[in-house]
Amino acid sequence: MEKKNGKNIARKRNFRVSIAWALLLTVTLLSGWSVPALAESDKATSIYNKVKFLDWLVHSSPAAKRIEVSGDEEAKQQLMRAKDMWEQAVEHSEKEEYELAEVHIDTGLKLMTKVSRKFKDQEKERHARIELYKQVKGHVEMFVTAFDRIAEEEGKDHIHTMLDRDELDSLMSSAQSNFDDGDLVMANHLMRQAADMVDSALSDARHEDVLLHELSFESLQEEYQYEIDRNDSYVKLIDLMQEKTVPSQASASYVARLIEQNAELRKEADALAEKGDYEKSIKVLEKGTDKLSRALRVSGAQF
Amino acid sequence: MTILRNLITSTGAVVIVFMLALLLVNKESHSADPNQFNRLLAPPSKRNPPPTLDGIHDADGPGAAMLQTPKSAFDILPKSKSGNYVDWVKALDEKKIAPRYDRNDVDAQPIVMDLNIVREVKGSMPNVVYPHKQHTEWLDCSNCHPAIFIPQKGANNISMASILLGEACGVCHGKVAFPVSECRRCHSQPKKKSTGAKAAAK
Repeated sequence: MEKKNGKNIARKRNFRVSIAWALLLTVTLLSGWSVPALAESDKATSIYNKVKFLDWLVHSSPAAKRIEVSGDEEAKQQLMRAKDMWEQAVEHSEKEEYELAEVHIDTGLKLMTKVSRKFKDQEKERHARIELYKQVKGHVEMFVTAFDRIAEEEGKDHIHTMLDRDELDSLMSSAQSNFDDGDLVMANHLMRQAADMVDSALSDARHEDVLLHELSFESLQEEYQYEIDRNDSYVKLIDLMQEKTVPSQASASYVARLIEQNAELRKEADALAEKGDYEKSIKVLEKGTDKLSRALRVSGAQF
Repeated sequence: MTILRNLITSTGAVVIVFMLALLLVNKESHSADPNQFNRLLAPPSKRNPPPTLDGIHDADGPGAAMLQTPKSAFDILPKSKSGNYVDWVKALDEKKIAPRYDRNDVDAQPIVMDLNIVREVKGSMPNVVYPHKQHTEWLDCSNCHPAIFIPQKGANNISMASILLGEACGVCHGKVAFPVSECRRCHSQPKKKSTGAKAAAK
């Protein structure tokens, strides 16, 4: 009997060992087969995407169309060479000669990048330069106003010396003349210099400063409104946290309970505010926001 | 042999189920709204999808598949606990990244402003500190002023509600910079004794 039991145990042990070996073998085989296969398929996908991109670039892109309708023979030849590179890349990738395909894609892309630089969308570029000029000019004007305000508020004469007004005026008027004459590149260059000047002056004037925005209210009604906004934003943030972080069932129900308690307190606060008792309503609302604050922590926000 | 065959079959089944699940997840990311706010609040399983699946790039665009994936691009950068899981400030400090200040000028240097703005808030939450320094090391003044913030004290009405809706700080935070769930990164100045709230009518 004991012998029989011993045999059974040994058989079971052998079976377990076989299973373990089989598992190990499977994992080894699977990893051995799948890694190179995966690497190869990654390469094929990468080449496929690049070929597709070059195809679009040489045949359908706006740059290719602009080159085709231009009278620039040299550019057209470059485009033809790029198309040839694409064709060869396709052939090599079909033969799974990925390295050769890569070389042809690279040459094709470089050719297209170089030649398309000569054929930019002039109107689009002009429009973008005009917009940039207006934007930077607005920035300079606004920051000069800010600089003047700071200098006045601080009441320090040395702040005024941080900005050379004559040089700034000269830069801005030169920029404007160039803009009016249609030299948008120079206009933007000069206006950018003016912007850098003002930015540097502001940066010097504010160096290592700390601006404090104190929290103060004109009335209790205003403070009540602030509390309402704070309460609302906590509710929104909890919603967001719940949606994005997938909470556990236990924490979700706890949070739901806290939200309910806040809703009750909010009702109470609103009723008090309607009666004009803002002092009490603020206190009640603060209690509600505290509940939400706890819910927020449970939902994963750290503060 | 039977055991081995069964094992391979079951492994194959698991792989197929996994691939199907992956397809479903990808399909979901693909249809995401590119302008959605707080998209960086995604759970870890959905973090940093490749450009063709991130809902930001045009998946059918000819270049989308050629772009480097965040997974490989972010690999060498300092880690953070949320958002796109990169500590960008640290990455900049450690010179792991060197963003070009001017697209056309490699040598252009940023004009860094070292100005902190402290905003008092009510309740148990610490006050907010906005450091210009860390922002201007990468961004130009015109990225935020005046379109997002008017550079004048008291001219901007900022609330958590507006940030959550993608306004003010929420234009970047939650979309490309750390999300609003990282309260302490902005609410970083502990309060002294009072809450700081002063109601004139009290």
